[in-house]
Parts: sequence; structure tokens; C-alpha cells
Amino acid sequence: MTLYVVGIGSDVGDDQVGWLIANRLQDRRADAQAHCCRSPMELLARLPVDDSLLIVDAVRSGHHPPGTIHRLQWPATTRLAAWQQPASSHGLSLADALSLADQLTLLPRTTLLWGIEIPEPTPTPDLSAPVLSAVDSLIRSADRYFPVQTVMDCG
Amino acid sequence: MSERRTVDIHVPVLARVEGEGALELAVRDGTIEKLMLRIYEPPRLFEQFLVGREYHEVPDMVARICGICPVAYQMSAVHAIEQAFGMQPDPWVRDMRRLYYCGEWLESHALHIHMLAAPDFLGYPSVTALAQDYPAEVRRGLRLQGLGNAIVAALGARSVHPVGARVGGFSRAPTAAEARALLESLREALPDAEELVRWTASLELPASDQEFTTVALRHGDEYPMNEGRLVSSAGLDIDIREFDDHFREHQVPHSTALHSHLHDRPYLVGPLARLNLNLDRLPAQVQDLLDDTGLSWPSRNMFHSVVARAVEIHYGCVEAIRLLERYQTPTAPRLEPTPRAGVGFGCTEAPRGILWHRYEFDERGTVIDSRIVPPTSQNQARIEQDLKWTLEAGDLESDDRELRQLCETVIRNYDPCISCATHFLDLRIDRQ
Repeated sequence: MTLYVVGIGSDVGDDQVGWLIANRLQDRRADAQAHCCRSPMELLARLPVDDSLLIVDAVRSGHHPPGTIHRLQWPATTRLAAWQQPASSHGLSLADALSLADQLTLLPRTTLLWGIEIPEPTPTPDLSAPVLSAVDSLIRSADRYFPVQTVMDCG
Repeated sequence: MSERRTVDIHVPVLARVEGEGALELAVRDGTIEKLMLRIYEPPRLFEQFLVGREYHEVPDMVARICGICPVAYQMSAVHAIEQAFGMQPDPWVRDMRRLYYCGEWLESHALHIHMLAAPDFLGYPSVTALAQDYPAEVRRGLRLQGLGNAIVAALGARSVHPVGARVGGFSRAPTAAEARALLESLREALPDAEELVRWTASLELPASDQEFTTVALRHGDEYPMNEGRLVSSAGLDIDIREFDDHFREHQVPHSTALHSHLHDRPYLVGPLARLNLNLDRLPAQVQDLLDDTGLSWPSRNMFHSVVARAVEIHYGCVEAIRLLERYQTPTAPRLEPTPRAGVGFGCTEAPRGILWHRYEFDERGTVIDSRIVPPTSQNQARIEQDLKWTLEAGDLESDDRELRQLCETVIRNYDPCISCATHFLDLRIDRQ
């Protein structure tokens, strides 16, 4: 059984938190496979997946402090407005991309969406302190939600 | 006796187009009184951002203008810069630039056909609704778009805002194994592309027979992408350096994008113009499939643009296969440029039509001046002309919902990229 972890974002500032968690889970777990996407449209190209899908994305709801973690299971994404709006008119919102994937039966039995609230984005190389503090918590959550079959020794 | 309706249609935000635009339509006594495609996105001022930057920064900067056609921006820029510096790309670079463009045509056209246009032609509000009844077709669209993205990423390092294109070539050459994998994917995709041409040709598209001037590049012996002369259906045949002698950009009050006229008349750029003017440049394999559709070409039905896009997806697969079958890893993926003062022009065939660039450099290769004429701004006047023709040829007494849907379908048929087009600011300073 494989855990597909899709990070959505970029390699800059707090927007990289999805990629970071995806790559850390892949490094840590033999059953995890990471995909780094820049947009929900790219996510569609990674589907279908067979087993479990975990999507991790930076979000800005404006209602919660930076570092707040949102844990939702598809299709209950209506609770987070940030996933209803596309980041660009060139693409689909995450909710629309998942609706289309669902319609095309490309989604696995379990699809979880984790969002991490970030502060005002800045083009810095590193994560801000509150977002960094959420990373370890989410790694531990992944192990609880998706029981670890083999934990790799990362030294 | 019935009274003629007064129609006021205001579409505040056009859906399923790239960027933000609007439409205003007023009909009085059966006559169109006002029709404006409003482009209200803030000006983006890219041309001014480029002034003072070094030549090697230009390809990455212009790639940021568009998330759908960054390859076109990079290709027009590098060709203009190389012309200014007196460089000629070597044959490997030339091949790879065509391959890069094949990738962009695939991803852009597949996105447009399946996600934006097909819901209009098949009567669905969105691609998600379309997918309920046409899941195989939508899956095919996603496969073709994904393949286009993979080609762009192979040369550009990533599919969105790629960074691999350089003046003189590319940052990195794909390995032989990467090229083989792409070739295999393209061979597998060829039946999808062929089926797509047949499918689009079988759609019940609205009838339309309009007179319009088409403009595209034309190359001596190949379907145009990066090179060629500018030609039109009205007999124009010029070097790209002569663009300003024939084309005139001007501002209209309702748009932050410049309108463009050829000899004071609207004109069409894009896949239908390209195909109409370059039918004899298609390889036999693509020509045969086009003939099998039973449609008559060149076409004066603007809605055949969707078929033209499918034909260019098929061509993109055929051409990419040809290029990859002879692929060899080069000794170097680029030539090193030597900057010099001068002016250079680049004009390439973006998915939506010709994209013209002009740059002036000082002796160190610093940008002194830049101009970018994107395809959507060139098509604006033509879109308004088409809307007027279509509405007058139809029934202006239709209810508002039907008229609105018709107008949106006409506009989306051009696959406008409004974000690309908004690069102009009419700055008026009143100093007392």
C-alpha cells in the first residue's frame, strides 16, 4: 500500500511547506511517494492513485493565526474558502480540481487535505517560525492517520 | 404588433477565459448601440520592467507574463536577442526549440478544447459537468495536457514558468533516456491526438461564414513556430522587422490592452489563421486526417478554431516524434552569446497567434527599449467584429440568457489570454 503525498506550492518562503512535508514523508517512510505540484491542475496529471492520497497546501484564510492546521477529508472542502478560489484565472481551484478528479473516478478511497495557515507571503528562502512549528506536528499526524509500515532510518 | 426589445447585457466577469475581462452590450430598436469587450485588468508594465535589465534576464522575466504560454514569450525573446547580437542557433537548438513549442501547443490547446470550449459546444456549464457524460474525452484532454507539460519540463526544468530557455540554447539538454521516454509517451498519445481531431470535427458547431483577414507566420518548408515571414490572407508578405510599417496599435477607452489593426482593419491571429495560411506545410499524415474530417479548408467559420487546435495537437505530436527520433545528446546545449549594441526582432507562433517582440540593447547587452505585442491584444478588435456579426446574423430578440451565452461562446472561441494582453497604461499627467 502506497501513501501518495502531494505538496502544492513552490520553493519559496512559507509556500514551500507542502513540498517540504511531502519530501520529508517520502524520506522517512518507505511506503510514501512524494509529488511536488505548483497548481491543482498539475495534481490532476498525477492521478489516478490507488491507495491513499494526502494533499498538503499552504493556505491563507484570514481567520486563523499562522501555523494553524486544517485537516479535512474530501469532499468536505467547503469549510475552507481558500480552496474554493483558484490562485490564478489560468487554473482550477483545488476544490474544482478534486471535483473533476472525483467525477472521473481518479481519486482513491481516502483523500485527505491538510492546510497550513501562513502569514503574508514573502520571497524568503525559509519558513516562518509558526509554519515551521506546524511541520513536525503534521509529520506525526501522517503517521497516525496512515499507519507506518516501514520507517526508514534517516540518520 | 410586438415591440422590439431593448437589451442591456452586462457580463461583469467572463468565465473560462484566461484573465479578467467583461462584456457590455446595448441593443436599441433592434440595432447594436454599444458593444465593448472590456479588459480591465491592471496594466502589468512588463516592457518597462525589462528596461535596464541584462539580456540574459529577459527569457526568465518574460516567461512570467503568462502561465499558459511562457514558451512563446521565451522563444520570441531569445530570437529577438540573438538577432540583435548577430547569432544563429545551431541545428540541435533549433530542433529543441520546435520540440519545446510542440509541448506548449499540446498543453495550451488541450486545456482550451476540453476545459474551456467543449462545455460551450456540448451544452454544459463547466468541465466537471461535462465529465459526467464525457469522462473518456476529458481524461484524454488531461493526458494530452500532461504530455505537453512533460515536454516543456524536459527542456524548461518545470512546466509552469519554465527556466531552461537561454539566449543561445538551453541550460541543459535532456539525456538520451529522457528523450526516449518522451518519444515513447508521444507514440502512445498519437491515437488520442488523431481521435481528438475526429471528435472536434464531429461537434455540432454553430454555422458561421464571415469575411476576415488572417495573419500568421509562414516558413519556407515547415509549419511555422519560431521562424518565417508575416503573411496575411489579403496578400501581406513581409519580414517581421517591417511589422510597424503595416500594423498599428492604438488604445481604446474600455481596454487596458492595445487594439491592433492591419492597414486600419481588424485581423485574426491564432490556430485558425495559422492553419488557413499554412495548409500546404502540414505533413501528409496530418493533412490526410484533416481531409478525412470532411470539413472545407481554409475555413471562414470562426468556430472551426477548435478543430484547428486539435489539428495542431496532432501536428505537435507528429513533429515532436520526428524531432525525438533523431535526437542526439549535444556536446553543449547552447552557444555563448557575445552582446553588442543593436535592435532585434522576434516573432513566434504562440498558441493564440503571433507574438511579436522588439528589443534594443546597448553594447553591454542591457535592455534600452522593449516592445511586446501579444496575440490576444491583436485579436481584440476582431473579437468585437465577430460579436457584432454573430449577433446581427442571429436573433437579437433572444432572451438575455441566450444572448449572453452566445457572446461568451464567441469570446471563448478565441481562447483569449487577457492577462498577457494587459501591458499598457495610458498615463495622462495634467500639470498646472
